[in-house]
Amino acid sequence: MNLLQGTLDLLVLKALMFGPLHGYGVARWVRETTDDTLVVEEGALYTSLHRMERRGWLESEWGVSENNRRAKYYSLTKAGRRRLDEELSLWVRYAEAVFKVVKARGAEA
Amino acid sequence: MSGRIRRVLRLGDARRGVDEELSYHFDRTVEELMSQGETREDAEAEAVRRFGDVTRYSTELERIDRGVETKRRWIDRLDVGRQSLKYAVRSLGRSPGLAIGVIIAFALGIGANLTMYSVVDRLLLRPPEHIAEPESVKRIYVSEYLSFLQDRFTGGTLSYPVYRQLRTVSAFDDVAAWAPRTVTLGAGLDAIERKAVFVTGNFFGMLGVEPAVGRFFSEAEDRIGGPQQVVLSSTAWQRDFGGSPDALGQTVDFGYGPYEVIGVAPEGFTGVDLAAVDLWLPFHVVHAQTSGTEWQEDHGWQFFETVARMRTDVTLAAAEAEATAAWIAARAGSEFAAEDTDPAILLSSVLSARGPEAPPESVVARLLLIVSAIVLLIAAVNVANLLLARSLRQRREIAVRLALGISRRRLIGQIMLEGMLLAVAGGVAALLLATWGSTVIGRVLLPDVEWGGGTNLRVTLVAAALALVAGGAAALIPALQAARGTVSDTLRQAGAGGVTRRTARMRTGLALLQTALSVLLLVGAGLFVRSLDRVRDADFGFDPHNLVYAIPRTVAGGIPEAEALELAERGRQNLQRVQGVRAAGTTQTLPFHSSRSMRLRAEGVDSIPTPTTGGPYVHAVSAGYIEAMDLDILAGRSIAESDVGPGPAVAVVNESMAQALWPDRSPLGRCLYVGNGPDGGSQTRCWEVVGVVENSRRQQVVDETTFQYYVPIAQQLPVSLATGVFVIRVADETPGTLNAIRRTILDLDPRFRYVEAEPMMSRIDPRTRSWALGATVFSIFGLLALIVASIGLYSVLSFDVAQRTREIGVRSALGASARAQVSMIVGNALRITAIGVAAGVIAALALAGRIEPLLFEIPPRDPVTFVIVVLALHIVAAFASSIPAWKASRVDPNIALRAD
Repeated sequence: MNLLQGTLDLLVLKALMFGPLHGYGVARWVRETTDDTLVVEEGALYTSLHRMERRGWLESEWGVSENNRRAKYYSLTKAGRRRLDEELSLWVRYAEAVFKVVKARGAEA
Repeated sequence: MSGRIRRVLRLGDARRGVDEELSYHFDRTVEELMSQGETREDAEAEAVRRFGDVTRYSTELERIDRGVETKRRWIDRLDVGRQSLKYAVRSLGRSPGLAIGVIIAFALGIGANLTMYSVVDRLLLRPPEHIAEPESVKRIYVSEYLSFLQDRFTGGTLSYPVYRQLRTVSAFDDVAAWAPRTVTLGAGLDAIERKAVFVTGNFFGMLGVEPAVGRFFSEAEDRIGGPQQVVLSSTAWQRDFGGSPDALGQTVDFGYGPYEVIGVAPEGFTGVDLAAVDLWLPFHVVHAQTSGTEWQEDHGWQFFETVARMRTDVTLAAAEAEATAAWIAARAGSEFAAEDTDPAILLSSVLSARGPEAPPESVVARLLLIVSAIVLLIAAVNVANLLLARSLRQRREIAVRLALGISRRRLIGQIMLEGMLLAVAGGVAALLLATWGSTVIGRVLLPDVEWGGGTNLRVTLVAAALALVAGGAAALIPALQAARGTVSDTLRQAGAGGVTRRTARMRTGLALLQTALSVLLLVGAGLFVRSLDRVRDADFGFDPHNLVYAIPRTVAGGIPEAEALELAERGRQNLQRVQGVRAAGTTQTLPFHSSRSMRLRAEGVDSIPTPTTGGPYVHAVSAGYIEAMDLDILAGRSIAESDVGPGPAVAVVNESMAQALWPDRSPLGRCLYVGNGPDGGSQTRCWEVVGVVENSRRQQVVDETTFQYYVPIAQQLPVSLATGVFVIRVADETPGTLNAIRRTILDLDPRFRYVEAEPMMSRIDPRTRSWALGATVFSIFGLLALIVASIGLYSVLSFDVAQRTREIGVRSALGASARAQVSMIVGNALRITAIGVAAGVIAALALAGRIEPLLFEIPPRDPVTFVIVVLALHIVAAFASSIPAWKASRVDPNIALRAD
């Protein structure tokens, strides 16, 4: 399935909520958590990561990965955490609203 | 994940970072695909497919990263800056005494410079207010070779026919004329004088100035018979009309009927000159004042100055050439044309101080700017010394910081930041000081100049620049010194109290420099003060103190000649009966006011040699004039009452003239032939020389040879000043006496409108201004330099004593007496001072020639001044060293030896 840009940001932020990850790690986490339903496109992923870093929601650091290679790790900043909270609550309200529509039995006459 | 490594992504590596990041993801993807069973080639192909158009977005990523990096760097820099600032402030706060001392030194040094800069700015740099495009506005001067001067003479006044011709010059957009005059409003004792400027109708338009209220008179209105209008200056409008718009339509009367106020000039507008103005009047008022049209046609009437706006596409040389041709054309056919030798029109800056008629005050001001730079140098040297001493005290702390890894560059930057902070604080104080100082100097020493605002943008910028440069320079030496050497060296030096031979030499060197510079300033001050003294005591020939001159002004139309002479004589008699008046006389010409020269032949002399001052000058005087002026008769007699009226004509010549004309005979009995004969030919009437009078000044304070002779008033000589000028020798110059004189003269005739009566010194004082300016400012700066230098010496010595406590303690313990300690310190101080003074004296002697033309009758190498300055500095040094010396003598060896 294709993703809207805004949703991608939300997924990335959430992915990083549990600890720093590199780009590949984020993509893998999303795939696994959604049971392969959502696959993140590489170009969009890295654009999102770098943009959010510039906006101060993420910070990055070069580190050594699990297979002993150099990789760039991203983590949430304080501002990033706040942004994640905001986005999550917005998304949940949006989803609940849409769900109500989807579950509706019919239009009122 | 292993330990955190500090991120060092430099801008050039943004590309590499992106590539590395993406290739990691690529490799992991390939691995994953291969672990699912694909071959390497297929896995890579699939990975490539997934990654899509890498180049497109990798460029975008790179761009984003660069932005991130730049932002981060700026935040870092700001952070470092803020830290440094906090550290600097805290560090300075720990030695408040030093900080205050340095700030004061900077405030004085920078303040002195700013003050002189604002004076120079007003006189030499800033064009008069409200002139549009002032670079193309040029003053017109004419320069001619004059045979009796053996030199060229340049003057700014022109005649009306020349002015008319100049207006036709194509290189000029327009030419306007102006003439400052004093007019009196009201009559009698309550009359007030106002400064008026007559201007041609195109004056305002040419300068591009707009009225603040109402309008200006136009070219069409400025014609003979044109409307009587006046434009007020902003000051006059505020002062005399309350700044109310009702002023328009009111009238001003200065003796020639009502002149209607039609407008007000903008604030600060003083025309082309810098002097304050009250009223702007159209040029045709000249006609009302003089009657007849001579002023428009006669080349002998040169009473105004001119200014032109040059076309921008013409060179200066071309304009001057065209103007010179016009000048020659205008004068062709007049009686003066034959004598014109090699005339040339000069176009010079709108600021008169930059032209050929620069007043001596502007020359002195330029010199004083250099002097103030020296004061700043002294202050900076002093500050350097103080900061150096401080950084030596902090040696241990600096060593520790170096060991902790601070970069030398950062350390130097830190110390310089402290210096700059102090300088900026000093600069702010200096601005305040300078605002006050320049207003005071302006008002007291240059009262003719309208000062406008105290501080302007340019002065503030100069202040900021000076503060930064001075602060940086002063902090540089200690900063470099502190950051030198290895850590161990520094710690070792700290243990020894921070005094190495090198630093001690440096600080002594700085103290020497300060002393030498102070010598320069004090010698300058001494020379100028002595000049001023000489000026005040100068022998003018006549005694200018307790001497009052009085000029009555009449209503339009004046008084016929015969009546005028009779009034003058009656006035003289009346004045002699006034209480407080010792003697009175009248004259047609007055020293420092007016002169007259006529064609002259002398008996037995083929041609009269003309001195460089021109002349010979004739004074038509009443009996009693020579006595009132207190001029000594050296031979023969003075002019007597019997000489006035019909009878043989007599003359009294001055000493120089007698010696030049009749060097080996007595002049008494010789004949002078004054002026032309009745038909314009040679004069045959003889004025017999009956006396020789001492030489006296005519126009200049500086003593020059002049030929002057005195003839009784009204012996068939054309009279130019109606009743002439009264000179009165008085017992005192109080306002009471002046008013009594005014009343006596006013009572003579109702046609006398107003009497200008002032002490003679008020005409002479303006000429002494340049010496007064030099003396005052040099003295202030010299004193400042002395204070700063002695504070510097004091601090160097105290620091020395503090540092050498151990050594002093040892000496004490070994039995040195307190007296020996004191004499060691004081001896050291005097030795340093002596060397510094010697250097300063040599420099002063070398530079002496430069200020010679600015002094008055004092040789620039005047021994008295030098001796006084040398002595003074040594005394001050001994005094400044006495306190540290006393402290040294009180050092307790026990405490001293234990101190680190």
